[in-house]
Amino acid sequence: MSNILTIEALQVEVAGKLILKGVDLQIRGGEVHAIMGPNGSGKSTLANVIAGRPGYSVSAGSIHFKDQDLVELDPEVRARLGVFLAFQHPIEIPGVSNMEFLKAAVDSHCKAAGTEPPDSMEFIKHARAVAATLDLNPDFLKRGVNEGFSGGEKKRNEILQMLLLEPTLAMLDETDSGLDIDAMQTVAEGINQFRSADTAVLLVTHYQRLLNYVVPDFVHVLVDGRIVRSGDRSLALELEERGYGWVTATAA
Amino acid sequence: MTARELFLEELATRVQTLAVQAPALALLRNSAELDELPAGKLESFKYTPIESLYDTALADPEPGAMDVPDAPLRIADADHFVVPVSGIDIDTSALPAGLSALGLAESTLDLKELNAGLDVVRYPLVHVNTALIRDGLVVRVAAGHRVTPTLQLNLTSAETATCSRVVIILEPGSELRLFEQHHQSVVANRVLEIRLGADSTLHHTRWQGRSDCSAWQLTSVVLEDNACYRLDAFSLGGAPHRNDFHVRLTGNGADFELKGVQLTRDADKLDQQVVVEHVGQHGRSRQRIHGIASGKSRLSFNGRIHIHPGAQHTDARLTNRNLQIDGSAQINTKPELEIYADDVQCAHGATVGQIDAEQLFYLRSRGISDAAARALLMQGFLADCLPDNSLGQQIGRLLDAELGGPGA
Repeated sequence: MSNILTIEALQVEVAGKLILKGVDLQIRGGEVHAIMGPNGSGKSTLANVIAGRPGYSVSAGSIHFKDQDLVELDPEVRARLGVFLAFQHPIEIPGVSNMEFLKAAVDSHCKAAGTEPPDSMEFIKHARAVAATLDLNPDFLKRGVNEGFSGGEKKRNEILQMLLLEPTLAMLDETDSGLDIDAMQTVAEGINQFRSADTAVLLVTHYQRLLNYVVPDFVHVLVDGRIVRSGDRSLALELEERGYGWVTATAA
Repeated sequence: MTARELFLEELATRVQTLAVQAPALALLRNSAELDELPAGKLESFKYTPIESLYDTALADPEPGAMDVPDAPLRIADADHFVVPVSGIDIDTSALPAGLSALGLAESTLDLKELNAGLDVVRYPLVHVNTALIRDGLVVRVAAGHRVTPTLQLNLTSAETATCSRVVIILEPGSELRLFEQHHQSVVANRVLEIRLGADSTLHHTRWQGRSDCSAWQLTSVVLEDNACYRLDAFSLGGAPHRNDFHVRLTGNGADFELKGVQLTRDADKLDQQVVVEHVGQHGRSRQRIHGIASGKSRLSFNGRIHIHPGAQHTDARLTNRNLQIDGSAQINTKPELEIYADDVQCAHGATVGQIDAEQLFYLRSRGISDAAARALLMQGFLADCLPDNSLGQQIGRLLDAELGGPGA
């Protein structure tokens, strides 16, 4: 299976400060990769720079999505190619209904793909059905985007967007943070539902507990802007056991 | 000669001409206190210098300007009736029960007292309106009558709307829905006076489209005991547009609610001034005005709440939020609060901001283009100010089109 994401010697600056100091990463179809690391190691920066967040500048290295160089592309173009980021802190947009937002997003993908946008009524039915699988009350679709949602509802709304937009690469930035066990299982089921031979998942997480529900193929430990160790799922368990001090010490 | 002197001279000639053309209102025109027109600067006309209006007040319409475009908003046929703002040719048989509409000259109003209730110091352009008045309209809803169909005033007719005077009187316990629509192709100078008797209710929707002609209007409203005034006001800019709303809650328990949208783009200028005076006790006022300015436009808002001595238990709120879409648009906003009673609740706030970068990235990260995302955020910003009815939906679509959204 060819690579979905190829990152080489990536250096990223945010506000003039070097955050990622040379990251290499390859993700192939069907794979789930977890990026773990202590706070401030650059985990979120990696996910955000792939999504194209303004202010995150690539000072060296490259990011390719399949054969496409992403670095110069606008975030909406990356999204339409099939890159999705579930936000660590989903944004509230009062006055714009969740349904209106989801429809606009899906329509933009269809337009880019040259396909007919879904009929409004059909789309609403579909969105309600997917929301139900995430235990998200259909009333949330009528409300303002994330407006007044609880932490768990916001995270489930991110998964809802992922399932409706059907990306190729889904990056989940600390989607597990602030979730109780039930919500975590629901979110994990959503991610597992998304997994397929043609899709890839990048989980950014501080703790390994999500990895009990979404089992990764690879685990990478990011420390001070570099991947200092890669391994399989057992690495996450070892980290849980021994703490980040262990890799930080061995990396130094 | 100064602009003012030239203006006064020309105005005198016009008044003489009108004396022949429309003799019925000559007495009224002659009562205009033109000496009161200020020569210097007025604080309330800081962003729309009053002398600049003198220059345009007497401009003759350009050839072709009298071709009035179609009004963009429509109410379902069965739900409304239209009366001409000129007060001429009213088909009285078509009016709903309890409502009368007469030309100004035919009405029983004491014309000598016509300006008595207006704040001509703050808004001296009333004198110009009085001097040039040709005709006008007096609408009266009889006590206790609830008029169901919407009264539609189309301020589109070029000649008669140029300088019009409309008086709407709701007698005690009556109710009316009013839809005022502006769509003008000539300079316009209007005064709308509304008198709300005890326990009456007026639902007023005002739409003022964009126009290359300057327009200024005073809307002056008095509320008696427990009267209720709901105003939904939508203004797009022009060259320039000036709207003054003077709302005076004289009775006890009166209630005023304003939701407004103000939009300017390109070289538009829009200046809106709202003065709310609480005189009676237990009055309540709520104002929410959201504005968006783009291009090189200038958007000005002044919201003044004045609580008179004795207006105890007043509860007054004002929120004005604005978005500046690019760096060259100018937004001026000034909330003012003057309180002379000690047992009141008041809150006011004004903000000027820009499109939130985080919200914009969130939408774009889902594939929505930068332009569509901005339009969506602007629509969301205005959503709180739209009435929840079919007219509100139509207005929403017109605003979407203005903002470059899917309706465009």
